[in-house]
Amino acid sequence: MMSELINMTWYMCMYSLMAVPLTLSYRTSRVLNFAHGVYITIGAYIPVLISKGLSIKVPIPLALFTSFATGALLAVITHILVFSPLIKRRSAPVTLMIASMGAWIFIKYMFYALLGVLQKMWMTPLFYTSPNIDIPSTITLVGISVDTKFLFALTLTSIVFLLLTLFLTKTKTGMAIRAVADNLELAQISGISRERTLVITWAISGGLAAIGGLIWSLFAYVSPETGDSVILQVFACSVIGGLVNLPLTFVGSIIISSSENILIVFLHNYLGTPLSFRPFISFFVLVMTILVRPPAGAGGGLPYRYFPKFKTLYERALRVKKNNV
Amino acid sequence: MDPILRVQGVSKRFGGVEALKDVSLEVKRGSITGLIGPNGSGKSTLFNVITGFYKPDSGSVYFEGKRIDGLNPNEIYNMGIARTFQIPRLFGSLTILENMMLSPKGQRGESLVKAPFKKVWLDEEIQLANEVKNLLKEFDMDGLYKVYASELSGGHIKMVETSKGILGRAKLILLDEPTAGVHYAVGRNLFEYINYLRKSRDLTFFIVEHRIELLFDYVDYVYVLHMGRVLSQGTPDEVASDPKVIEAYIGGA
Amino acid sequence: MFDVVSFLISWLTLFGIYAILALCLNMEIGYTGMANFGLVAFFGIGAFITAYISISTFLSFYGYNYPVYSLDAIIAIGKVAGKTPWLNIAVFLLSLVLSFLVAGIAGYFISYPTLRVGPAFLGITILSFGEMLRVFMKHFEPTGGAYGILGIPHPFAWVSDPLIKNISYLTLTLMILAGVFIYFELLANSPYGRVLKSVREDEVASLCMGKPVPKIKAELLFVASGISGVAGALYAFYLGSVTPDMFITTVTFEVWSMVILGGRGNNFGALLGTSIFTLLNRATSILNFMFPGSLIDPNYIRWMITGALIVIVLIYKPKGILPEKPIKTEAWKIFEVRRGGRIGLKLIRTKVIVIALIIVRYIKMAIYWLIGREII
Repeated sequence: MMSELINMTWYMCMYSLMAVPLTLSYRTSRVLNFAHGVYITIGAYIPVLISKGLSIKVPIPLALFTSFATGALLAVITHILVFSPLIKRRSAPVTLMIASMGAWIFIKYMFYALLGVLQKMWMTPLFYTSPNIDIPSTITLVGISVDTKFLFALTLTSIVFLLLTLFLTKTKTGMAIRAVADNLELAQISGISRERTLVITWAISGGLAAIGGLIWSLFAYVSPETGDSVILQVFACSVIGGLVNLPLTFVGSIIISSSENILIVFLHNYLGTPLSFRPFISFFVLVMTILVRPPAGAGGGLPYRYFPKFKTLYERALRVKKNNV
Repeated sequence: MDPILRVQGVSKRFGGVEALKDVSLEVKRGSITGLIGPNGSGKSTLFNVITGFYKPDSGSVYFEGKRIDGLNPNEIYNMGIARTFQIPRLFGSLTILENMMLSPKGQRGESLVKAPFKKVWLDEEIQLANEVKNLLKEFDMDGLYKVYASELSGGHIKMVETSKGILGRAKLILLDEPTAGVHYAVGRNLFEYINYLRKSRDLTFFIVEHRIELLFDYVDYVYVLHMGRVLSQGTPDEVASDPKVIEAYIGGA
Repeated sequence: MFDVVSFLISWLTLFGIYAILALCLNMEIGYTGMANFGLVAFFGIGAFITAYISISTFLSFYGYNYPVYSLDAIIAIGKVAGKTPWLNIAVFLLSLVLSFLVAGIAGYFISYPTLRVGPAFLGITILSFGEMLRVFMKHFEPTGGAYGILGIPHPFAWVSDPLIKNISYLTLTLMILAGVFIYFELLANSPYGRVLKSVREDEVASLCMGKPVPKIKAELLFVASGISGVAGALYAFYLGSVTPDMFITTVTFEVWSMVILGGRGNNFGALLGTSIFTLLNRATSILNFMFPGSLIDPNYIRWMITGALIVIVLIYKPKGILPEKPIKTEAWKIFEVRRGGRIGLKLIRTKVIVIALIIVRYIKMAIYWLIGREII
């Protein structure tokens, strides 16, 4: 049970670091960014590339900084090149989504090509590997030997979310981001520049996702498919948060990580469900959320509750029953 | 003669806001009935309840004696109530012809199963197209049938929007601020057209309007909404001289 | 060294299958405005149903009792695949019908939770559905788990000459494509097509004009998913084996690029986009074959081009290459009194072009075949 809890916490840290920025970016720019997974992958790979390329043990601050910076930079570039022109001409949400998919494919396979080239240049395997980070594997705290990486992940996640909350609630830029997300016209009238706010939001979004990837690299092997292998669960967390609610997204990450790590163990032990059935559960949760609490009008749907036909059929059946009795 | 539309004790609340409180009114068949009130008094909400977008928290809505609250908007349309929007909602990438051909209900060609078989719906289609042509001729727009709705001028958009219910053989047409944002002369033209339609096709109109001076020239009966309640009702003259109404418009909200 | 004939055959067969998918997607997004990001799921369902049904029918017909995915089954099929031609054809037809039904029903059900919410949620849900299905199939033993099903009996397995076999299959595929194309064109140029476009433009307004919007979306998704399943069936027979990893999200994205590039809302555009991208696809495999061990895998470059192309098209020419045309029902005739014959001519011209294109392809292939013959 202990190992499951630890696993769950690992996943919770990762998913929250990956899902919250996704919600943040959707909320502010109304773009459902399918390229989000790539930021995660890149973030996971930066320490790998540094450690293999320079043949050193990567110190933590460097890893953190470079991951964040690369993720942020990538997100900002994607925004400037892809989303900004489309937003300016008021494209439909679907167009933005497909454009983000285009960006996803482009970046992902460019990265594949890059890895291929680097692998040949450096003569080390790069497609399924781990970084060499300068962190001791265990520390003794109060007489107990604790896995340092786990502790680090936990601490990092807490600090990041603390900083994020402070940033969004206390600083001027943070409040500008929230203003643009909630009421664009009002924000613009108050003199907030939408473009600048979007750039900062994307930077944070990409950077945090990259940090999520960094945590992943501490925990498991990385491959260019890393981001895409978790993107579904990340989406599920965001959907639980209705794609706009940040704290709920965090709750969503707890739900998803626990269902993936604890629920699956129960199912495995009692029903014989294989362990790699995890994504199934996330999808199930996702669909249930949409069914049970469909955010009416969210993402541009019908702005009211369409009463399904079978309800009237049911009522008619009830009436028939009453008449017969 | 019983009224074509009867709203009885309808209330609707959104979170903390009570948009409609115990609203009761009647629209007589063949009349032009008006609904006025200051902004935020609940006029659009009432329209939305009547047309099926909202289910009233309490109360009921009767159309031709049948209860319609709780039905879906498309079912209500098929019963004979058409509705226009304040900001016209035409289909931009469809031509005017296509826009108008969408109004008639129960077209055989619109079912997935029957659509590939031209024989089944061709006659109906041609007949409806003729009706559209005649209707467009009535306001001089039959040359524009090929124009995409997104390229129309404001006056024409309004005309098309207002005529949406006619081809659908609607019996009651709800107009939501038909003269919003147009020139006074165009607005008067519109009302003349509405009057003409009422007589020639035996329609009933229920109109929300802000241009009271224009509205009062044409309506038979007026309801005044204020803060979700029916403040006053009567003929235009009665309402115009009702002190409560004057106070609501000049004072308070 | 470079076999033009087999290149053409493989390109055109792939084109046929993907064109069917592109037409389905065009109906979904181009006409109805439903962003189906999980197209590959229905494609895969059709393929797997086909694989399972065809093999199990063959096995039970011949009295073998092996599980469908086992090595014994493959060997057995290999032995009997060519023996009874009518069985092959019958199984082929049965698979098509079943693939259509199962994929269609799946599409109908998946539309249910998403009818009321907007494109963002629809996109995610269908995408997740596709991925989940793939993961599920990887563990589902009766269909071979991650190894999939191999040894699917080809409908023309009884033909001895492989060239004739492939060309016959290509003809069959193109005929089915033509049928699907004509069906969708008929649907589109009718009042139903009008309703679809109105749903795309403004669901609320459409609802207010009496159109049962969720029902329309669900029905269309049923048909389009079903036909995607048929494409999957054709794919399964063509490749002879199916594995879950063949049906990943990137396939969906490929079809999206075809529709976007060629022109949304235009069925011809879907065909055009498909031909461009399948050609690109085949060309890269040739490059891969001719220059193995190059610095950068040509496949990566192909994907990079695809991704970049999508973004560029969306920014600079969002409607795609071919523009959307208005609905061609006879209603026009009422207005165009003077030029009455034009519409009829236009329709005929369209059909003539389609047939001409198909004939041209045949002539090209025949010529190459002849040339090939000469060389051999």
